[in-house]
Amino acid sequence: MTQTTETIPGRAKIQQLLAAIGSNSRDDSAQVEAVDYDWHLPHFFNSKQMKQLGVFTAKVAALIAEKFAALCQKNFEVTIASTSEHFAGQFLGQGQDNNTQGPRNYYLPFGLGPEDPCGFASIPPQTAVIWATQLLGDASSKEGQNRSFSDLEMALLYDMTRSVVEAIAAANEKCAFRVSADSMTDSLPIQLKGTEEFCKITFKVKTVGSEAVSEAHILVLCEKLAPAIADSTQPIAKFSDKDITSAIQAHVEKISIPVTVQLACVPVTVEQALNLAVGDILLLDKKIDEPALLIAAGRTVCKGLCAKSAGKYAIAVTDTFFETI
Amino acid sequence: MPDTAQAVAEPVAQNQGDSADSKTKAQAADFPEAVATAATGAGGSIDILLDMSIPVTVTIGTTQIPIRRLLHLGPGSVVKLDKPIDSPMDLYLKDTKFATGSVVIVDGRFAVKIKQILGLGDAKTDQKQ
Repeated sequence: MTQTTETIPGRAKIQQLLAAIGSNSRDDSAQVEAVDYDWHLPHFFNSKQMKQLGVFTAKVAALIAEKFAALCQKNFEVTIASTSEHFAGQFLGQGQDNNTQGPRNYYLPFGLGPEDPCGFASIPPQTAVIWATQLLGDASSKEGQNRSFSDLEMALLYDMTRSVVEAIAAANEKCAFRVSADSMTDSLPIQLKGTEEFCKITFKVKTVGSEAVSEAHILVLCEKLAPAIADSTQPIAKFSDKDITSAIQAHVEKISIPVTVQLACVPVTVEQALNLAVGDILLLDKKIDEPALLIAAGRTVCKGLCAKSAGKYAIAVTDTFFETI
Repeated sequence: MPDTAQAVAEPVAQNQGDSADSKTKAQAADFPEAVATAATGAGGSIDILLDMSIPVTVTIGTTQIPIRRLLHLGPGSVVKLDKPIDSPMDLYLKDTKFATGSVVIVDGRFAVKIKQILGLGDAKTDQKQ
């Protein structure tokens, strides 16, 4: 059967009919937005926590400005450029190759204790030059970022960087980090495996009235930063290895495994096996009062007497071998 | 071709002349590549294995049991199996189920009377769990 196009209502006609009955057709142009999930980045914090982290970092930025102002007797504008999460593997190539040409970042580790560094401030070389010279009023130094610093400049850079760490500690008492080194270093100051989840906070510093902007980074283990935003999120409970093992064991114990009840096992030769026929009786080397074996995963775990239960075969356990397995 | 390894033994008596005698040369073993070809043998006979011993296992039945319950089994516990009481026992040749039979008593000992040899007609073989 064929149908002419004249009998099929057009799109406009359908819209009119739907409008007449108070219904609108779906907008075909509507598209569902999909964002790629980046598997290369950790997702320690959810979107809500990231917003709370934004509030925290804004407070840190304000405190950095205050501390820089107190240190340099100038007014500073500090803004958070970005907050992102990274696996430590992304940093492992940095600051470790002594043959690398070009300037390298300066690092200052910090943590809740001197023996437990959980993060570090990372100062790019161009920022180091600004912080160690221009921000301190030594405008005469116009040398490039490749130059080496004097001891005084390194000490000033250290003080500036330490004040960044102090700003984090002042922003939230649960992140009371303290610097865990007496000087800046140009190699990563923390031993990393590569799978650690880090939060990278990038901030920009500018002297009020100046156009020169310097940028630096704070990298903290996400788990150490979490308490700073944990007030309105789930409490972060600490469990011992024993607790974790017990919890997993409880799950494992719910698994069902096959067990077999073996009445007897007797060796026969291939010749005897080949000659077996229906009706033959195979003698088993087991007395009727000897128990059968309950075997699980190839191991004899129990022995017991053959029985029946609710119309099915059963074994009534007489002894177990859990202690000897 | 693998590199030739050379091990130099500690000379026992350096003043005995020929230094080559005091050196032991070791060369890596090099096995030829084997290429499979179509079997041309007439096929062996199982007769050469007639006296080989194989375990025959008689199982009453099986069931699935949670690990938690398994670990709590003790004297007096009863584990009910999946097999009805009127079903035959399974016989395994090593790990291969090859027959079924019923348990009988002969001179105060267990024995099993073969009821069916699997693999004949519609019988199915099974692997031991």
